[in-house]
Amino acid sequence: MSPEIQQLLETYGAVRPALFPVLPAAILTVFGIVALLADLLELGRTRGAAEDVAGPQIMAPYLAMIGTVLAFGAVVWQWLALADAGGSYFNGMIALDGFGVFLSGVVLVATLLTLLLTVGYCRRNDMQLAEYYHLILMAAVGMLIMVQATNLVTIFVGLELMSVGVYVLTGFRRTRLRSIEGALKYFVLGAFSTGFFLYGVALVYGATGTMDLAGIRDAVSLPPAGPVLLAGVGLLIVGFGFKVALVPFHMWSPDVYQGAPAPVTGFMATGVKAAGFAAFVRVFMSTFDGLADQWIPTLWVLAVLTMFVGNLAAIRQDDIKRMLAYSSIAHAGYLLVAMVAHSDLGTTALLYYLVAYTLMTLGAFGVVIALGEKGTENTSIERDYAGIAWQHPLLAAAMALFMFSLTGIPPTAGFFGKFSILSAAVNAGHLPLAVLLVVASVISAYYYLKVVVAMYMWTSDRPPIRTRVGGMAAIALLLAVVGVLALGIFPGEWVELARAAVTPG
Amino acid sequence: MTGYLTTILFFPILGIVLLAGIPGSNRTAIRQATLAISTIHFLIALPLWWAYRPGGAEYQLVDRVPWIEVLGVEYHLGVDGVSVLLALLTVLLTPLAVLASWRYIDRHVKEFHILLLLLTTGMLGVFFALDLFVFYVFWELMLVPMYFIIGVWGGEQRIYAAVKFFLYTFIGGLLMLVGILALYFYHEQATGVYTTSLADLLALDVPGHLQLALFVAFAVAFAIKVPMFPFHTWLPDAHVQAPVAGSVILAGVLLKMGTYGFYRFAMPLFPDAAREALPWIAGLAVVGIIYGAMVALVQPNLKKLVAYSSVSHLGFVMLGLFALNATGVQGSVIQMINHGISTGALFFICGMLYERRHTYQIEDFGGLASVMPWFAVVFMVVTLSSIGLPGLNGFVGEFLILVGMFQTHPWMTGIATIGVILAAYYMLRMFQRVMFGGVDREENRGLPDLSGREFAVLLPLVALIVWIGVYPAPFLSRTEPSVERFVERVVGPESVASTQAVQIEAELSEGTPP
Repeated sequence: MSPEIQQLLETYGAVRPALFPVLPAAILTVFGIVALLADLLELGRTRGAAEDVAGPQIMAPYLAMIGTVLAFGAVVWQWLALADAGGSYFNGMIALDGFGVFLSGVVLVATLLTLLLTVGYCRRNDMQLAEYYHLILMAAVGMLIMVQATNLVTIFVGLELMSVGVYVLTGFRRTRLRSIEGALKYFVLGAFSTGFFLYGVALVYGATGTMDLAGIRDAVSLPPAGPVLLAGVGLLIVGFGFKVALVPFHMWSPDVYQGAPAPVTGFMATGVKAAGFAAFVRVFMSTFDGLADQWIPTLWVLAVLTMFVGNLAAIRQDDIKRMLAYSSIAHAGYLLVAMVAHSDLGTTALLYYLVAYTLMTLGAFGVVIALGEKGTENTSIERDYAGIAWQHPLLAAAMALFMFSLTGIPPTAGFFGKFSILSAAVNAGHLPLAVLLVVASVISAYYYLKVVVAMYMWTSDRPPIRTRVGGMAAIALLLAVVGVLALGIFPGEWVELARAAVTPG
Repeated sequence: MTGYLTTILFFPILGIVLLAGIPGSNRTAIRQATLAISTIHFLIALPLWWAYRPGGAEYQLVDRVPWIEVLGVEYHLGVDGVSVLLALLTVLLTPLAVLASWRYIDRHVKEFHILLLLLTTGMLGVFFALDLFVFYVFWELMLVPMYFIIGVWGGEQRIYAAVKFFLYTFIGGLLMLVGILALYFYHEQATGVYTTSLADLLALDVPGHLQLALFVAFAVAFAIKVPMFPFHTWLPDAHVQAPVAGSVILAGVLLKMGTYGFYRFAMPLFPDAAREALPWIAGLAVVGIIYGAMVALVQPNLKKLVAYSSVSHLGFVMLGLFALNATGVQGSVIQMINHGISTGALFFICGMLYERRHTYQIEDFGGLASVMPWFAVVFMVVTLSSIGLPGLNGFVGEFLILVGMFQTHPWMTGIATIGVILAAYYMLRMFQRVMFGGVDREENRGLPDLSGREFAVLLPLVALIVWIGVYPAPFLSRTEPSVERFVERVVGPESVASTQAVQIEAELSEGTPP
């Protein structure tokens, strides 16, 4: 940091609004409401002609993007001001710490990429409605609350805000059966998981007498842990397991991922997962630190199950969204390995991996969206992806890059992420787990390669996909490609950033 | 000379940028441009031959800058005598591969050449890396272009072969990655410093049980690449399905990465484990020699025959490495180069036959010597070199390996020698069935002899075959200090170069100053 900036910060750094700890969420809330109102008042709205496939022009997407960018700016501000503004706020409900701010950044990147990818998709499919953008922003607000929450109640509020938004978004293409099916399934099972989560909260409260994470930590640090507390912890694992799709709580995800509109699927696979893991990690790594001997073996087993079931099931999929759903299950397993390592190295690896994962997964979904046509998403690998490399060379090259990154081939972000997680596992002495992760990755190589094989090595007799990548989507894809390569070739700065987020103070 | 290796390493990337600017429809321009780029690349890299001074430091022309500082990873390149030769082999084979693909590759020409150049960078990175992380990155990076080359431009079973090739190498590589990490953390525990630098890790004294586990992790990765029996099953598929350029690079360079990995990493890093594993690995090498030869014996398919002969030849290379004396290792190193040249040339020849007749079946040929006399001459030289006829390159390597191994394991050497005899049998029988006898097929009658382009592909290789066969001294003298350091590291200082070995080498190098 140059001295001038340093001085500026010293002079004005202390001038911060009262809502500073939740500034990004506040900005998103305001813009979400404005987006809705602007539509209501028909501000800047032009009706598309009947023949116009593009649909009506509305302001909501742009408002949403501006809001997200501003919120990201606020996150950067928070990061810079962390040294003197960091701490606990709102009676211990919210923490402003490196971990939360870092993950806020990840959530906002996921949101921004989703918004950029979504514009063309919505216009193409006649769903250009302000509510859509409103819901995305509100879900993002829920995620932001989750990553900062330090009280089980705040976590729950964030979780519900996020989930409700995503339930509706899943069913947004209400003329399509799969979309409705997905939404219903997601809603019912989600409500179930919420029940588990709340039950867990109640039991933990019963055992410790507090819902404040710091208070719980003090309570559980005094052994022995009673059965009520352990049951509560178990139920919380189930609740979080649902949200981040760990095996065996993953059953909903393939149907929901397949049914939801592709941009929403991408958002779910990245934003929801990042927020879910944020709360998961905060609750287990620090709050239940005293119970590590109990939950580490549990998560160890869940990690292995998640990696293998996710990867093995993905092999059989022909629908690329379903395949990516299983792949995201598998990646949740990798992230769990980082949690099992239970060290600063592990948390650093997890943060880095979440950034890498967000970029490559949203990138992959970006290509999936770009290859959709009006009324159909063209998601069959065998039929729709065969030979597209020679029709859409750039899209195919980007997809190949994302697939290699998801496999973990250097020099991509995915490789370095896997490297970090492996190193955390090896360092923590979990050598068998590291080897199992390796075996799981080799399995995953098979189905990621299948997409590449289809694109480059198969030929198709279906009429070529007519698609034009819009400007917004092109920006998003470019961001993802550059991000995946930059994080992979120069991972040092990013690791340091993640490490700074983990180390307190 | 800071930056020299980096220039060599990334020059092909510059070429890729250039190629990207040429429209894909202008195929000739793309071919010419790639040929020019790879030739210039060769000329840029050629001074390595003189720039590396055998008497000097262990690693020379070092480029070293911090890369990922938090992890202690450095971008660290350097060469010793062995990597110089392998790098030169790589840059030599690339322009030849471009020439050989001139007509063979007629679809997606631009993409093919871009991948070929990317592959060159990947391979050179593997040979230049002096940091385990850098090495791993290039090791995996080179997988991607090769996978595409086999999968897009290969034969009928290309996709199966490409995926198999990818998965085999990938699983080995990942196991090695876990090994690298364990070593990395062990180094931190022992010294408090995080580093992936090869020199620092070599200085580490790893306890026995850990050594063995790590050695296995590395050895499996490299054994798959070599390929050693029983990890060889990807090789026949990949070789047979790959286009000519792919087969040549695969046989010429990629397989050497496995043996090079043993030489550079697995054995010096874990010397006790290497010695402990010696009977196993040498045993597998002997099995590979005999097995490869026996399978080659019954192959009706030309390319498959050459592929299995590779399994057999690489067995010799492994045997030489594990002789653990200067003679054997010298032979092994020279044999790596020899195999690259001879088998590379054999695959070029297979490709030329395929371009003419669109078949690899031996029975479809016969009597070609009378139709294509020049071709017959070159083919003969290459075949004899592959067999190991004295006066040609193959002999030098195999002889040194057998002499070296005989000092320590006479029985195994005895069995391995059978492989030499079998090689003569299957190679000569193949040559006889393809080239001699009457021209009993109508299609074979009017086959054109070697064209100028084909001469250009084969002549440099034939020249090298004769040069190394007659006067191997410049090659041996370049690798000698490196090999001695290697043996010293693995066995301990006392047993470097027995007097006998020095004598034989002196005879072979015809009076080079000791």
